[in-house]
Order: sequence, then structure tokens, then C-alpha cells
Amino acid sequence: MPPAATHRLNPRWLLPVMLFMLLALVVLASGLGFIAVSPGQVLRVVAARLPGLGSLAQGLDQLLPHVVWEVRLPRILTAAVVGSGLAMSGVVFQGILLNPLADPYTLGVSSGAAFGASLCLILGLDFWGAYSVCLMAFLGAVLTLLAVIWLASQDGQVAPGNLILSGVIVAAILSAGIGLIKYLADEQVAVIIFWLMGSLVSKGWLDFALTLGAGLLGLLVFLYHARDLNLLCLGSRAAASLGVQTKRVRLTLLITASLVSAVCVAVSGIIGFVGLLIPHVMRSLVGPDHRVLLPASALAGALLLLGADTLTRAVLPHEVPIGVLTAIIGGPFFCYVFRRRQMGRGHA
Amino acid sequence: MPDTAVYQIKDLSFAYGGPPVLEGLSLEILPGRFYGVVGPNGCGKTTLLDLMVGQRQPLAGAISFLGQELAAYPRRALARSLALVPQEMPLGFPFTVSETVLMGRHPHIPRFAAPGEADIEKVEQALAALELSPLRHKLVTELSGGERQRVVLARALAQDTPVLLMDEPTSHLDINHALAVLRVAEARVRQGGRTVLAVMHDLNLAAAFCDHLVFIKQGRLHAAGPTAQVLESGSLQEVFGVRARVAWDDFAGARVVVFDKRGGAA
Repeated sequence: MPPAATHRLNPRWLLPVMLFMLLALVVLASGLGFIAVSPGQVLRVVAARLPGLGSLAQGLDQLLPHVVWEVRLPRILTAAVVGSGLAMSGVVFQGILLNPLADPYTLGVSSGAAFGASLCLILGLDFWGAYSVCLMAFLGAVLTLLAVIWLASQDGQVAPGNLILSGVIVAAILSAGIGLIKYLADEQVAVIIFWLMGSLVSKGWLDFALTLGAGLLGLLVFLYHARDLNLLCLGSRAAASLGVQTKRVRLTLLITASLVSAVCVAVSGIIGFVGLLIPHVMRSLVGPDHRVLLPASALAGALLLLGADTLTRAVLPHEVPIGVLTAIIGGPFFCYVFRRRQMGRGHA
Repeated sequence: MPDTAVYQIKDLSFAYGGPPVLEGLSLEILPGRFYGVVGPNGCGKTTLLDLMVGQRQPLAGAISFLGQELAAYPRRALARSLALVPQEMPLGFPFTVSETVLMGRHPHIPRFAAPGEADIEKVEQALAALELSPLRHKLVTELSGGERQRVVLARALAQDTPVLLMDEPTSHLDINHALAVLRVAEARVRQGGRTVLAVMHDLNLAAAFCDHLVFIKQGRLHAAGPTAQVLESGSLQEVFGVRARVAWDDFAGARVVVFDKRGGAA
């Protein structure tokens, strides 16, 4: 192994520490809220679900298992997985597009999901119960992605620069469409606006299962291609000359990252800045090697979104939409990071 | 008789959907020589390299590499025989110099394996050859243009292939480093029996280092042959439209080209 640059954190202890912090935060967050539950009680409720350990729940308040297991845990775990998914897809988009500003928004994926959801809400589509919005958002995201790729490709090759431009164009059109829907929506306008602001309120186990499935699939695909992704950072000519199937790898990663972010947006609405901020921060902490950067970003994204969701759910006097909160925290922080980068470049 | 040519290019044509960029170009590249490709801006040199590494597919014609159809090579296998130093080098992510050079070993290391002793040694040799050893822990995002160019070259050296293609490898280098880089490439040809082909703009550097020159004008092969034969004022006038004088220079140890600054009109 080449000696690591001294200013980087060693992933050998960083990743386990972050994983431990995440588990601790999950337990802590499960106890926070209108009804306070101690960490010990949370662990007992969870352990009681295991076969043969049901007796552990005896002696607990009847309400606790319901509050922890049915209400809080699904939302908490969904928040963590959505945070991971957004952060990982941000890492991948930035890597394949050679652009540190790329994320699900730049590519129009989020706008597509928002448009699908708005359409579903105004038309009152109800073919799959509460999950109709989710499904329509997913469809919107995927169709938008296909349109963006089609716009950006010339003779079968997707040019990174074109991709961002196409994403911005398509997103602008979709925003106008969302505006029109809101204008026409009358009474549902509040519902649409609330969805667009992003929320993890009343997420259930099915939401968790959906995002977890997409997140795990993404993690596997991304880690399998992590070294190719490192090489793609050198430009497609260089990567191809080093033996990477640039076209196939880039398309695989693009589609997988879009699927992951589409599922996240479909479940939670628009939650900004996680996919932009986390890759930046983690890259400066652990370096750009995707074999480390991807798992580190996944854990950091989970920590950030779960932390933010717990803040709005249990700490703040009123629940603020999570998307608004992440933008309020993340926006200025990102400005700071970006500004510092510009300054650093000036001195170099 | 075995086919000994590194490249056999026959009637190659290519276009980006408009007028042809390359037309009817045939060329044979023999092993153990240093080739220079020269020609005016936009004459199709970079496109030719793209076709020679399989980055683009020819519109017509055939390219065979080491006796086999180029398109038939699996990417990784090709990368073990053929390295490229591209002109552009987006080193936008903060990898260290040694990490970047180690990426040259990619085609030799199985997907989930760690680099072995031999890989590290090749990286060390490449760093040393290009005087990059002191910079090994620096981030590529913090390097000057010339240093970056040497990192890209070191990566290609670490790839350790019998054939090396370079697209203007000295464009960002001062004369000292330009000479050093070309000497490294030359040593690979002279001692290692490898083949180097470089697109070059500086005709004096081309004259000093290349055994053979390939002149390209408007997508067509204008002349190709030993430097001593094809580098003369006539071909420079025809290809570049400049008045030039070419003469052997004892101090340079090579043919040198001087130009009439008043332009091509005689």
C-alpha cells in the first residue's frame, strides 16, 4: 500500500467509529420525543422482537413497544438509509461527471420526482394507496433521467458536461410544470408544498424496506466499481487506456445512482444538500479513493439526516420540514466550504 | 513469416458526422522505434491517437495491433500492451501523486486485490524517472501544470507496456523537463526495445528524439519515413506553410529547424 497522506483520517478506525456513532444515535433518537424512553428500554424493546427473547418486554409500559417499534424506529431507520442513499449517489454523480457540484438536483432527478408526485397529488391518483405518490415520484425521476441522458448523448457517448446542462434544462421545464400544478391545485396546494419540502413524518417499515433495498443494491454496485470510478476521475481517455469499459461503467453507475436517489426522493420528498455536502466533507477527511469514500459518505449521510430529523422531530418546539432544515444548515456551510476552496486555489 | 509490425493501419477514415477528419490514411509502425507525428492544428492527430487506442471506431479501414484486429482486444488486455498519455488531464480530485501513478497498475491488479511488491516497485521507478519522488505525498490538485503532466507520464510508465502513445507530452513543460521526459521515453525505446509514438508540436524536439516522422495534413498522410529523409524544408513548406531551413547541428547532435519569421509567402 502507498503510504497514506498524513492529513487524512485512517479509515480503519474512522469507519468503525462512525458505525458505532450511528447505532448509538439510532438508540438515542428512539428514546427522544413526546414520550421519553431510556436507551436501556429501547434496547429491551428491540431485543424482545428476536425469537425466544419476547419475555424481555414484560414489565415495560404497554405503550413503549408500540411507540419505539411501530412509530419511531421505522422513521429513524428510513432517515438513516435515505441519508446514506443521497450521500452515496452524490459521491457517484460527482465522480462520473468530474464535477464536484453534481448531485441528484443537477441531473434533474429530484425535479422529475417532484413533478411525478405533484401530478399524482393534483389528479388524486390512488391506485396503490399511500404509496401512489411514491411510485409516481419514482416514475418521474426515472423518466426524467432517461430524457436527460438522451438529450446529452451523441453517437452513443454521454458527455459529462452535456449531462449537467441537459439536467438543468429539463429541471427548469419541470419546475415550470410544478408551478402550474400548484397554481391549478386549489385545496391540495398545501399537500403538494408540504411534500416538496421533504418529510420523514409517518414513515413505516415498508418505506424502510424500499429504501434499504435500493441502498444496499447501490452500495454493492458502487463498491464493485469503486476502482473504476477512481480511474474515471482521470478523464475518460485515460480511464479507457487503463482498461476501464468507460461507456458501460459510466452508464451502470449513472443508472444505479439515479435509482437510489429516485427511491430516496420518492419516499422522503426533496431533501437537499446531503448529496452535495457529505461527499465534499468526507473527501477532505478521508481522501478521494472511492473504496473508502463511499462507505464513509454512506455513514456520514446517515448520521447527518438522522441527526437533522431527530432535531426537527424531538428537539425543536415545532416540526420543521426536514428539507428546509437541511438546506438552512447545509446551504451556508456549503458556501463556506466552496469559498474556502476558491481562496485555496487563489493561493496555489 | 510472423507479423512483426506494432501497428498496421490501412485506409483509415473517420468523421465526426461532418466532413472527414481522417481520410485514406495508411501507416505501419515497427517495434523498437521512436515515432513522431507532426502536423498543423486540427489536422487529425488526436483523432488518429483516439482510433489507435480504440477510444473511437474507424468509419472505414482497418487497424491491427500486434498482429490482431484492434477492436478484438478486451479492454484490460489491451491496457497491458498499450499505454496512452492523453493531452487533457482533469486531475480534479485530491489524490496524491503516488496514488495517481499507482492507477497505472490498474490493468495488472485483479479487481479486489491489493497492489503487490512488483506494482509498488514499478511506481517507484516511474516516480524516480520523472523526478517526482519528493512530491509523492502531494495532492495532484496542488501541482503546477508541468508537474501534473509529469504525473500523467509517470502513470503511463508505471503501466509498463511495450507500446506507449503520447499526445503532446511536453506541451506544459519547460525545456529542461521536456528534454528529461523525452530522454526517459527514448531510453525505453533504446534499452527496452519498446515502441513510442508521440504527437509533437516542437519540430526541433521531434527532430532530436524521433527515428521516424509522420507528417499529417488535413486528415491525410503527407509523408512518413526516417527523420533524416522526411524532415526537410520542402515538406515543412507543404505541410505547415512556413519557410524553414533544416540542417545538421553538431552541438544539438540532431537536425535543427529554423524558420523565416516573415511567414510562408516566399
